[in-house]
Amino acid sequence: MRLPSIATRHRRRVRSSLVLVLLAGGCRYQPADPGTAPGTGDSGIPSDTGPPTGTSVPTRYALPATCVVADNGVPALVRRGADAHNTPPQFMELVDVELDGDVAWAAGQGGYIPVDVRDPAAPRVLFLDGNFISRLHRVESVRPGLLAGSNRDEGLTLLDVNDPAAPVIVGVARGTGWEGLAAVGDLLYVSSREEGLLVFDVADAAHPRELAAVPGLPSTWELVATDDGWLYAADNDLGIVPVDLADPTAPVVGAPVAMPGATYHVAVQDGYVYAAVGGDGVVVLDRSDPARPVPVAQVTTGGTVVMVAISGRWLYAADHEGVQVVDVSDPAHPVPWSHVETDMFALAVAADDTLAYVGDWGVFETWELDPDRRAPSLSVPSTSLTRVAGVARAAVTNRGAGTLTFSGAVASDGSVVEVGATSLESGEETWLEVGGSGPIEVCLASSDPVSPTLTLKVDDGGDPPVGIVAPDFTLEDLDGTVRRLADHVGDPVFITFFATW
Amino acid sequence: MYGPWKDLGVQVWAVASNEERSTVQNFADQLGLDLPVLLDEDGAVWARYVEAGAFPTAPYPQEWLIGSDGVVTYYANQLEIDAVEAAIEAELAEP
Repeated sequence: MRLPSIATRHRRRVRSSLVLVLLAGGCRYQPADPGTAPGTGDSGIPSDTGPPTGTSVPTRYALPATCVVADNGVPALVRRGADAHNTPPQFMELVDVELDGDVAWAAGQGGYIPVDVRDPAAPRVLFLDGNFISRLHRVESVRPGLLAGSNRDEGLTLLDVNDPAAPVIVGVARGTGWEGLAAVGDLLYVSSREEGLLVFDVADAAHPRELAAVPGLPSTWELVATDDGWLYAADNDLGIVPVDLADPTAPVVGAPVAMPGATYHVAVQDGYVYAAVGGDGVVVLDRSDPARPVPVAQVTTGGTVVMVAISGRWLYAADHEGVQVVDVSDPAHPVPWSHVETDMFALAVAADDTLAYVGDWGVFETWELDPDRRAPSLSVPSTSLTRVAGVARAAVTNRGAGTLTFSGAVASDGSVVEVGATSLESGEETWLEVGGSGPIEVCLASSDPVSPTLTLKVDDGGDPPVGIVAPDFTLEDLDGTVRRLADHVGDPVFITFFATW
Repeated sequence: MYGPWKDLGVQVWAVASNEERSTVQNFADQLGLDLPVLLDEDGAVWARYVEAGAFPTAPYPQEWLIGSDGVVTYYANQLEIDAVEAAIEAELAEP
C-alpha cells in the first residue's frame, strides 16, 4: 500500500493530522520550494502552474510596513445556502453527494439523505432518520426512482426513491469492502476489495443478480462509466484503471495508469478523465485512446483532494480544506479559478454548471460560481510558522484566476517581512520570510477577497527532544488491548498524536 | 497504510488525546483505520509529551519515533515520510 504524504493545515483551526495522513496522496512529501512549479515532480506530469523557471538570481522584496484592510470585492465562488440539520439536531457526516434532478442525495454516517436543491439559497434536508443509519460510502442514481448505495461493512443497498422524502429499501446484496458504484442501463458495477469488479443486474431492484466478478481492482474507491463503453476506476493502490465494457456483462480490466499519489475519486467528461489524487491534487488524463489514458496536466490545491465533480467548463475539487474551482475549457491547460475554505471538512462535491453542492462533513452547502469574476485566492500551507535558524518561511500560492498582489505586511516586533514576488498570477507561487525572535504576529495585506489581511503566527522552534527517554505510558486502544510503551523495548515505536477535529 | 513499516518490526500507534472514546471510534470507523488507536481521554499522556515537545504554536500533529532502547530518535510537528523512514532505517541498522 502506498505511504501517505501530508500537507499540514492550520488555517482557522488546527486540523487533524491523522485524517490528512490517511487521505493525502503520494509517497513523497516535498516542502514547498520557491522557484519550483507545483505539480512537477517525480511523476513528470507537465503542469501549467508555477513561476517561470530558469531565474538565476533570487529576488527579494521588503513589503511596505502597512497592513490596511481593503475592499477586494467578493470571491468567484460564494456560498449561497446551507443546511446543517439543526432541527432536530443530527450530525450528518457527509462523504458523497449525487445530483438527481431537484434532489441531491448526500450519504455518510447519517445514512441516505435527500436534499431539496431547487432553491440554491435554501437547500433543505427532506429526510434524516437516526434509525435509518447505514455507513455509506457512495451513492449512485441508477434510474429515475432507484438509488444505489455502497457500504464497506454490509454491501449494496437499493432504494426506491420515487418519493425522495420517504426512501424505502427494496433490495440488498451482502458483501464487505464494497465501495465504487457506476450504473449503466440496468447494470450496476460495484468495486469490491476482496472480489474485484462485480457486475449486478438490477432490472428487478428487489432481487439484484450478480452476473460476474472480475479480479484486478484491489482498492478501488470509485468507478465512473462513459457513454462509449468504458469504465474508469480510481484505485488507491494502482491509480486510474480503464475497464473495457464492450461486453457489458464481461468487463475486461486494462492496464493501470499510475498516479503521483493515492487515488480517491474519478470523473469523466468527453475525452478526458479527471483523477482526485489527494495531496497531489487533480490529474487530467487524455483518453483519446480509451484503453490508454495519458496524464496531460496536474493542478495542486494546497489541500487533499478526495473528490472531483465536472460540469462543462468547470471542475470542482473537494480538498478537505474547502473547494478548488478549476477552469478546464482547455483540459490540457487547467487554470485555477478560485479556492474557498469551508467550515468543516469538504469531502464531497457534485456540480451542475456554476452550482456546486458540497458535503462539508456535518453541513450540506450550495455554492455558486461567478464565471466572469477573476479574483485571486491567497493560499498558505499554514498560518503558524516556526523559525529555522532564526528565519520563518512560508510558501504562498495564488489559487485563483485574478492577480494576487501584496500591498504590505506588519510584524508585531517591527521585523521586516520579505517576499520573493510582489504579485502572483493564477497558479504562481512565491515565498514569504520574516526573522525576529520569540512569538510574534505578522499581518499580511493583499488583494485576496476572502482575507484582505491575513494573520500569521511566528515563533521559534524549541530544542527537538531527540535523545531523551520517551515517557512511558499505558493506554487501552479501541479494541480493548492494553498497550504499554515499556513493553516494546527492542522494537522501534512510531507514535502519532492526532485529533479528530 | 503503515504496512511497510510494520513489516520492518516497527510498532505504529495513533494516540487520540482529550477526546471521548465514541468520537474516536466513529472517526476510526469512518476512515477504516487499521492501526492501533490508543485512547488518552484525559490527555495525561499528551501533556507529558507536550512538555518534551518543541513547537508551541502548532500542537498537532506530533510524530515521535522511539528507538529500540526507549530513547527518542526523531520528532516532528508534521509527517515527513522521508525523514521518518531514514530514522527507521538508521534505527534498524544498529546492532
